[in-house]
Amino acid sequence: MLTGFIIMLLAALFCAVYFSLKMKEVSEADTGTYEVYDRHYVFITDNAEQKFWNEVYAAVKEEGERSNAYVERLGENLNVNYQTEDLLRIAINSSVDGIIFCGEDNEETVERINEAVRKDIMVVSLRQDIENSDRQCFVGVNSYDLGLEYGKQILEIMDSGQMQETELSISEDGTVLEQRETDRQRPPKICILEDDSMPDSKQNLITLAIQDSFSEARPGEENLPDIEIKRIDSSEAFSAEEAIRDIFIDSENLPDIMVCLNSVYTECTYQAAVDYNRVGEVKILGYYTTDAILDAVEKQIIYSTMQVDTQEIGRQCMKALTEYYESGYTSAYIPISTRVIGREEARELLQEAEVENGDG
Amino acid sequence: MVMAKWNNASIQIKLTISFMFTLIIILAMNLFMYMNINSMMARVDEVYVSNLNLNELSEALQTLHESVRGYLDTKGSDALDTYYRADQEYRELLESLNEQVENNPVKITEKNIKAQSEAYLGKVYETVQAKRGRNVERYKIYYDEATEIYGDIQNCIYALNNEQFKNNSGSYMILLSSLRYMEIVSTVILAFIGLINMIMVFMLTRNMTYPLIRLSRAANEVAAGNFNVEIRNVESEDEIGIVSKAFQKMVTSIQIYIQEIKNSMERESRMKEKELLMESRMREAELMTLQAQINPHFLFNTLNAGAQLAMMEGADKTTEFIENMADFFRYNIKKMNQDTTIGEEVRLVDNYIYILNVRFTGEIHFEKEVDRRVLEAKVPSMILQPIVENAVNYGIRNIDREGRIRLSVYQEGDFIYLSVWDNGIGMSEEKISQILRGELKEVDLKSNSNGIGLGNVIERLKLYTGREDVMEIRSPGKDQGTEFIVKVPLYT
Repeated sequence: MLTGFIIMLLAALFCAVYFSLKMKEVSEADTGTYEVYDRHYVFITDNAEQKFWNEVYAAVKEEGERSNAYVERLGENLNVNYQTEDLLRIAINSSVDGIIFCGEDNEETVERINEAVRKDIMVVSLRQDIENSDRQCFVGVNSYDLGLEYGKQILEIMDSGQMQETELSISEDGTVLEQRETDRQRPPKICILEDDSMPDSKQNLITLAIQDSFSEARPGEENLPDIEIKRIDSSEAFSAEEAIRDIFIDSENLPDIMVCLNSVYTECTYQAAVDYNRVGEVKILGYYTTDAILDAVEKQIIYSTMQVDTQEIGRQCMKALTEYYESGYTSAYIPISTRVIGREEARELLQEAEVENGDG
Repeated sequence: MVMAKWNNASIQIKLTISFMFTLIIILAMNLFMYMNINSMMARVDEVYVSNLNLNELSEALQTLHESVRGYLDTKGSDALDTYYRADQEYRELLESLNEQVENNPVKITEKNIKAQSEAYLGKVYETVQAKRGRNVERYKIYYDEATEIYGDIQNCIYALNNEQFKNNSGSYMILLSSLRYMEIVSTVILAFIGLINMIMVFMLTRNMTYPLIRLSRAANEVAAGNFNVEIRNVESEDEIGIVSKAFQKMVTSIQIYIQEIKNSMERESRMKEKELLMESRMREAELMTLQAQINPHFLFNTLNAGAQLAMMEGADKTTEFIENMADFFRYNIKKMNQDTTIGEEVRLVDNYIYILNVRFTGEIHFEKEVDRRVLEAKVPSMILQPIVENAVNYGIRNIDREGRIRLSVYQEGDFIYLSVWDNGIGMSEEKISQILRGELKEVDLKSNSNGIGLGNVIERLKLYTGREDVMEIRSPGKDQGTEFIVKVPLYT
């Protein structure tokens, strides 16, 4: 009898404890626990190159948490597709403590940035400097250095003897009669794919750097490469892909080397090269290291690509913001180094990623 | 300790405690679950409250913006009033929004909305002030800017609403699944408790009915006549324990009672036996009398006729003699089967001695010493005369000297003593003990006796008094006489 009573009591107790735990669990799930930070920064970028910006944002956010700052990716949750300058307005009206910005360099942007600075909101421009604005800091790759790297790659391609011309004799009914590969006599044709929004100075710097690298490596040579700059209108969605395909369609004037200055252009170009069967014929120099790009580098569809350390970008951004917050001063320019990724490096990186994924 | 107390508790208390306990547990469980489920339901109700609040905020903002527009359109004081009220209402709603920097998308958006709203309210205020100051160019610019911020805020609210709806839906799903979970668990626990409860009730009732069954079995055995039943293991002190113990006590006392009845029946049957024996002795004496005097009535009537005849002839002595004879026989007829008094017994002895003296011409010297106080005392009839007869026949019959017989009746303490003494030949110890044991054959007595021997007398006296020491025979030696002393209790 006593045992019965005890069993009943235990059952009741078990039930009570279970229910209490369940209720607690539910209430925790309901409210959740969040941390409070000192400062609120926003991260504003355009919609292109989401993968690249995702990594940068993750790095900035991580760095921010270390220095007690929350970095919000503004515009992410908004249903309206805001332009970067509109996002700047929202950030200013939201009285944030700092803005990390990568967007089109136009008048309105400059105005907004100046307004933010007036309202004691620090602005760090990323990757692409808003030159005429009062932004406190610019974190990005030095265009001249980038140009020099590309120049080296182009020289390497030229020196490796891969510059051959395929001459095709085609009959009237379209069948290939003869295919001859001859050493190139004319200078290579280089096409640099650039964002329309990119300031001229930057383009000039890259072009200059490539030319400099040539003249330095081959002083007095007349057979200098013919550098063409293709500006792509990025204001309209998907315009990059169309513009790049146009280049491939015009097979007569197909460049020998294509230099892509962002990851989207790189992926589009390599996809077009595959689609139009121009792999090997067109040497692609890419930018950034997405899995697809690395894969293409390993298969040598893309000759080489530039690795930008997103972690470093994040670190440098937050360093500038913290420095300014604490002292009121910071460097106006923080350079980010780049690294050339060839076939071997791509393979290594892919293996590393595989190991990481495996671990994860 | 607890178990002992429990065993000693009454059934009423046991039942009450058991049912109360289970009832309380089940009630408490139900109450607890009801409260939990209720609070869950309340939460479910609250889940979308944040969405409603945001809708309210959005509407208030819209109202405010429209009121500003209205004022700019009309510049009426009503419109201004509406603007102030809308402004106030919107500010109040803003109070509830978060303003801390938290790594929660919802909270950070709330912070953004709040900051933008303050910027908006400032811009709106400037707009209204510019309108009032008729600064047409300014208020238009301000209004455009405010409208821009208004759009931003509405977009942010919309985004927040979406975000919250997403979260709330998640919470709602969690709550719903929790509710379902709790429902299952509570049902299982309730069923479990119910089961235990049933087992407990079963055990409790079994504990109660099992002793009853044992008790009824024992009662059946008792009814069948077996009183040697014992109810074992009566541990509990409850009503059934009490009943069991009472039953045990009852069976024991029935056993004792039966034993007593048996004893008294035995005693009774012994008494009856004694009575029967006495009666048979009496019948024996009567039979002997009848054998000796074939028809006492005839003899008695004849004797009376003889007495009348003698009286008519004037023979007084003959008359007296015959009358004594008649008295003697009448007494024999009358008194044989009933008690009599000492006085009558003495008179019978007188009659007898007279007759003998007539027969033997005054050879017997008879003396008597009688305490008159005891004459009315009751004794069995025909006890004294046989003793006297014995004294005559064996004591003094064959002696040469003068035969003497002395009868003494006296009282000592609670006893009456009837003593018959003679101066005859005396009696040997052997013979005395033979007489007292009743072993002496009395066949030879018959010719000169009325048929009743000493053995018969002693037997009847023993039966009558219930004592063994009814007769004492003393004889100092040969020719020194014999004394028979009958000892009768005074109040028998």
